[in-house]
Amino acid sequence: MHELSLAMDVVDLVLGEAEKKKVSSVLEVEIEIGDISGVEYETFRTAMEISVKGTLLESTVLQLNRVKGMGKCSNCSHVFEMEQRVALCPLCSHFAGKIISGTEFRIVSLIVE
Amino acid sequence: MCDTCGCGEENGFTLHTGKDQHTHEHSHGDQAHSHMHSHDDGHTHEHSHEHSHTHALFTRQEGRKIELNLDIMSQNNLLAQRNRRYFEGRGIFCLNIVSSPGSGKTSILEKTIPALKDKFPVSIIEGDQQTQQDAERIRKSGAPVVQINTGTGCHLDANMIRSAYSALNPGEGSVLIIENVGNLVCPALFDLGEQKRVVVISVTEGEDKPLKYPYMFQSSDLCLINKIDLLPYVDFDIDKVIEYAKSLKPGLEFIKISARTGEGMQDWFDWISKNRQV
Repeated sequence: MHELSLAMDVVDLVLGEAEKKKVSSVLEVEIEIGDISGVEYETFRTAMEISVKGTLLESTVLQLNRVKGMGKCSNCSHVFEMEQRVALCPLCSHFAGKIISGTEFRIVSLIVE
Repeated sequence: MCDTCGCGEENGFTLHTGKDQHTHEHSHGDQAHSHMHSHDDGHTHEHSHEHSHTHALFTRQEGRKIELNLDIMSQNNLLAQRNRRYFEGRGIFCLNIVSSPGSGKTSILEKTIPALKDKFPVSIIEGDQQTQQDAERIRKSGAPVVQINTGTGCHLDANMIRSAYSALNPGEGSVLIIENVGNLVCPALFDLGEQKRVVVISVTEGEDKPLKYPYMFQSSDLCLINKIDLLPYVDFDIDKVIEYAKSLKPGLEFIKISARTGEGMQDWFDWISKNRQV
């Protein structure tokens, strides 16, 4: 359940930004989560609901965007979707040598007023 | 934090320095940590954004958008980098030992400390959800130790490590070994600032563990295969586990050991001595 401590980090980061930019409220937080980032999407959503309780973000809209895991085969350079961090190329069964996307875990933007 | 011994509760984890037996009555009504960003230089960030509003999909009328693109792990990574600089500045060789529960991390340390402590100072940071039992075992084998209880948490993070080594104060040129919480999932994501990460797998586990928990093996530098004295009694294919792990991390090193019988342990001690000097 590292999602809970990460959610608490997100709340701290957003509140820090809100204070820095002197905004009165944060209407929406947009977060990108890669499917192979190691952060479980549903668990993180629940963890966020818990973490915002009693903070200025309690009624903030949470926009969670998933990013598909994509990898490139180390042998034939075929680009394919990776459901796991370890995946075999569907064409030649070699391991994906390079992860192209899906490890993202970041706060993309805030909507504030 | 207790002024006498350095024990204390901070941000949800508990630090036990074991320096004294007295009790603490912490009130901590001040948990609302305040983030005092001053910004009195008056920079206002009033970007005017008059560019013909192409983001028409964006229906919300009120509010303005702030692009952040902030890596959420950056907070931990930044602290980990600070820890790493601290260790490097003092010539401290810091290891982070990770594994499933029950693979023998603490037993390995119990044998490692007496073998090394005459060559250079060794100190230990113990991570567990609850209890100080491991710290007690380590203390008996002769190394200074700080126990971190993560409470509901499943891993150690860089901030906990900073608190722990501040209490331990490891000497210059020493070896600091972190025994992470027994968990092959979460600790992989959290850089603690260590120089090397060591993953332990025991032969009573499945040889497909690297494939089931790839992050941990991908992020480690050395794999200790423990309990090899039990090999005659279990169906564990060492070659297979090495093959699986190497497919994830080609440069991963392996040492086969038995903390119980001592077999292979000298290779592990030599590995620490060699890497300490690099």
